[in-house]
Amino acid sequence: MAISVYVVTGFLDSGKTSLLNQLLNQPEMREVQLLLIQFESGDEEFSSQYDNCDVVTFSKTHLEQSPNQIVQQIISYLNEYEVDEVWVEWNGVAFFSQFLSLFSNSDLHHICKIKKVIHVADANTLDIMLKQTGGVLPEQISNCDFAVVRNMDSSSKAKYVRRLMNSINPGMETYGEMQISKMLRSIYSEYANPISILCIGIACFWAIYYIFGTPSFDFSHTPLNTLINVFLGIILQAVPFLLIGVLISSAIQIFIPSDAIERRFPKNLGLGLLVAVFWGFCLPVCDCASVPIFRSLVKKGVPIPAAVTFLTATPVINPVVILSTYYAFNGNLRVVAVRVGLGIVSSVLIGLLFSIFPSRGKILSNSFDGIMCSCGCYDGVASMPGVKGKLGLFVRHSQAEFFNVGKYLLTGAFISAFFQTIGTRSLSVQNGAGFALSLLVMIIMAFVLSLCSTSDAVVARSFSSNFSTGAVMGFLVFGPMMDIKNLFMLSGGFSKGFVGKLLLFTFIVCYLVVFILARPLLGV
Amino acid sequence: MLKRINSQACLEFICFSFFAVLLFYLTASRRYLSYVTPKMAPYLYFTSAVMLVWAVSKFPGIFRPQHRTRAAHCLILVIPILFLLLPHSSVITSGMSSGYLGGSSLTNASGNTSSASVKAYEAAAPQSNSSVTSDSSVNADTSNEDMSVSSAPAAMSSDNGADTAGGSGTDGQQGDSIKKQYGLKLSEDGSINVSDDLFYPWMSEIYSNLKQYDGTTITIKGFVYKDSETMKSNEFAPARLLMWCCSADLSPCGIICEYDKASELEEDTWVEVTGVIHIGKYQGEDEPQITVAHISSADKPKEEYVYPW
Repeated sequence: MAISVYVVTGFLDSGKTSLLNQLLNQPEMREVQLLLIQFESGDEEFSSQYDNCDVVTFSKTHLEQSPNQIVQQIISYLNEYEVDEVWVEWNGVAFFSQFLSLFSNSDLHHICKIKKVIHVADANTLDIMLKQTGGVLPEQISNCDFAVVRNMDSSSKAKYVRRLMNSINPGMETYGEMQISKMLRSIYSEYANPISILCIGIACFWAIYYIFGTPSFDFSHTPLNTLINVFLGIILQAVPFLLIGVLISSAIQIFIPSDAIERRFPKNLGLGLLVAVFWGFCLPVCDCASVPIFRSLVKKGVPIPAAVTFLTATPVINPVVILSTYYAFNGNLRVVAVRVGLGIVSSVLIGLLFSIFPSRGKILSNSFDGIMCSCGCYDGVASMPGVKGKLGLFVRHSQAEFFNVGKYLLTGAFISAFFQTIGTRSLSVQNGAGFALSLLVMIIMAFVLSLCSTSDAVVARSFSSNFSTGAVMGFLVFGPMMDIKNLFMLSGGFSKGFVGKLLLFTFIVCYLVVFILARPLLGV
Repeated sequence: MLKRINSQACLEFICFSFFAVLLFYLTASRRYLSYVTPKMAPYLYFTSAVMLVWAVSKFPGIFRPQHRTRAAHCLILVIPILFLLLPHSSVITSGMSSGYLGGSSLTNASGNTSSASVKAYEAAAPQSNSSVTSDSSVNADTSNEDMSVSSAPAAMSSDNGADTAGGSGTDGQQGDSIKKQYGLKLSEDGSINVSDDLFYPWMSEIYSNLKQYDGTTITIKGFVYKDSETMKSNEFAPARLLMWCCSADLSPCGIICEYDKASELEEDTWVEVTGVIHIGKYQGEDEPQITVAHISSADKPKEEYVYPW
């Protein structure tokens, strides 16, 4: 039977020893033989009340110089004495992976099993620490099972800390220092490995399929078959473009120095918007790709109005879209020109609206660069110079971002496939409906269908049977800028308030611009 | 929890490499055509390559220990993989005409327009040049309905480089260019035999040059498509599904046939129809229709959908 190992991590003076004093001196622990291994000696001393706990201390220099000796010492101690639980107080400035490699030493690995890792932090200093301590702290946090945070005295502070912690380690619980019983419950509860859950889930899925997939159940005539086809169609269409977007945005994040864009970007609002439109014109990507790029631009300090203009202009006016619109609309240059023109006008207006009504507060939902850590891949990231290190970082960053944005794409694609499967007839307007109404319907349709902007022109063309070209123009202009899929992707990285505002502005501007300009420009 | 092999890195490695291999297989075996158009092939190869690089990048991590493992993010790859592996057949119209499919509901938006897509070439070349402007009138009327579908041959002709934007292209020129581009030829006895891969070019050719083909014998293959709202009981269409960009926008397309025993034909079964083209009226518009001489059941074509561009 392997000995359970519990680890407490946290920066210097965060209160690791106080927590251990609290936990290990609980009355329930009286009968348990403990060994406490400290890799750091702070101001506070550990003192055992029941005399059931031995303490061994190793210094940081010892850890760095002769880790094997430490392992041997621990092993010989465990062989000599009867120990039920091993508790470890890990050094605050050492990477947690160092501890893991220590304990995955073959001999130690056989007698010990790491059960839980607890991170201790102080609410008052957490965000400063995260900014100042490089990779160590996020790495420790991303590896812990739950966190104990001191000084969470107000509910707003607690909320802030929880959000911060969850941006680094999604789904993790954070307790206050007084919630001892909850901590103990967490410490001794066994939860299933998520990977086993996933495997079991996949197995169940197949089992269900084989039960229902027998010949007696004709699968091909069910809406489910259609749903799967539509869903896979959207996914296979969108994933390559999402990938392009993720790669470009990661390249911006990693290879461009953090102030280069901000420094060179025109300070003048009008000029900034023009530059944004120009770059939107140059990048042949659809809306799946523009969302991650938009996010990295905002992170790099591009002014919000210009970034928003870029976000909304790119999917409407880029060369691929122009070409597909040209083909779909019968080579009618007027439609192409009106689409591009209205796209530019709308996106510039949206940008202007954002400069008139600037967003207050943080618009990026993670104040700390959460993407970097949520993958648990923070080991030594900060100290990676050179091209090779950067390339590795680029690959990891793009993967993390792919997973991050991908889940919203998947959700959006599924909802959109669902709507298409149950049919959108209810949304249709009979011939003869007024322009105002049919435009509204077209815009809602664009929002729901979430088509890729590089190919939506063809679908829009098929609407011309029921809607006037003016109304279809609403579909062509609004659809790429905003739809279910984009909304989900945006809400993954930005605050609710900002996304809501963007949706509102985009809707109002597109509606009015198309309503006022489309018909005269199309000559109808 | 701790294993000496990092199970999360392992899982990610497996997911990436599996997705890469699956995408490559889909594309190389042309199975991807059930979901997207041939235009996407290079993009899918690109995705497969990136996934492979990502898989390789995970390799060193497999031996790096990690305490807290996560698996939820891998669902993003696992779900599409499962759906791709889950045996499902291609979309059929009985599902669509009963309002299931969005692709058709795009064209079927007002319920009576599935007809529009069937007679996708109704508004043939003569009108198609002006269609974009004419159908933009606020009150779309019946004739507008036909306009929409004209996009098909029109897109085709602009493909050919014909200047249709100015509305200068004449029927003959357009027809010729379609004919030339795809090498459409009449059989020796002067009849048309529409092969599986030339379905779309022939459709646009016949719709564009309707008068020229009046009285020509045609053999064409498709699945039986009926729309009770717009077709008479003695009418059906040997139709095929057009895919414009992905399986979300499939729409049926075919020439309407007059056949007394049309009601006996089972929907969605594949048939080969031989008959004579005549100019018929469909909701007030001239369009080709076939008087059926002979019907036999047929095999599904290798590529079930038609990709107009």
